[in-house]
Amino acid sequence: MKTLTLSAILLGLTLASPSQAENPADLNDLQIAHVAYIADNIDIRYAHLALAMTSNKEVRGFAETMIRDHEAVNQAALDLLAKLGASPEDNFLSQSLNEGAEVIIDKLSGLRGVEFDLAYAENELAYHKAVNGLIGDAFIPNIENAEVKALFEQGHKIFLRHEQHAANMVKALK
Amino acid sequence: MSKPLNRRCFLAYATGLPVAWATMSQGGLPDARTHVVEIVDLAFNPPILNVSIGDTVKWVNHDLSPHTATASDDSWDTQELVKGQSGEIEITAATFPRYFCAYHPSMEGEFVISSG
Repeated sequence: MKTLTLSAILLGLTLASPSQAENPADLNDLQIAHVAYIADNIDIRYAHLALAMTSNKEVRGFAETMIRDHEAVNQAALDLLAKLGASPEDNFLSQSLNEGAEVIIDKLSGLRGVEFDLAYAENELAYHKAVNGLIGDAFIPNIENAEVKALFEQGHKIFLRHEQHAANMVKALK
Repeated sequence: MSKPLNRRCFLAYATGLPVAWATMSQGGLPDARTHVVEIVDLAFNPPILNVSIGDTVKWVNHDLSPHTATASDDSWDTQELVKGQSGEIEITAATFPRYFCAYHPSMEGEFVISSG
């Protein structure tokens, strides 16, 4: 069943559009793969910003893990797409994610010290919550290719752990 | 690929002989064993391992994300293990018995060490 999730709202998508094409649950496998690739890259960008901005050991460690894990997941996705002879397809959700990321990076770039650390950690928690909801509720139930679905299930487990890690980081920084 | 690959293990891998056999033939404890900890879905399996001094513990990473097995007191470390890689340590009387993944600190494991 195709459903629009709360995650879509958290990711800044509008529910007002009457277009079926703007329901995340209606994306095809190649569009979903594109969204996931973009979402991974956005978190990698946040992490590189954090490494440039903070000297907090825990925050730096978290950011390094985000780069390591999201790059690994993206490489696995690219390998799978190459094996399937398919290319990811750009779509409204990928574009929306990128636009949202620009705003967040602008905001984070203006912060310093513990203010940056806490804002980065809170954004990581909110971002992983939203993306995990999207993956679990809208993507995994609707992916048709078994290998793509299995990859998303593996990625989802990793990202749920990131969410838990981010929650612990927020708690420690407050 | 396995790391670190010490001389004893290299001999075992190069000849295709089991590591436990190599341990015995190289003058190790006669009952020394190799225990395998599988890293799957961001967890060490089994999380608690009964080992004896002289045994080898080998971690095999099956996850997409890289992991480590790192002593909680930092006294030993497998270094980074990417998917498909393995790393191992030999248990001694001084081996610190608790460990975690340096990249995912909520992943934890433990040895129960007996003198054999």
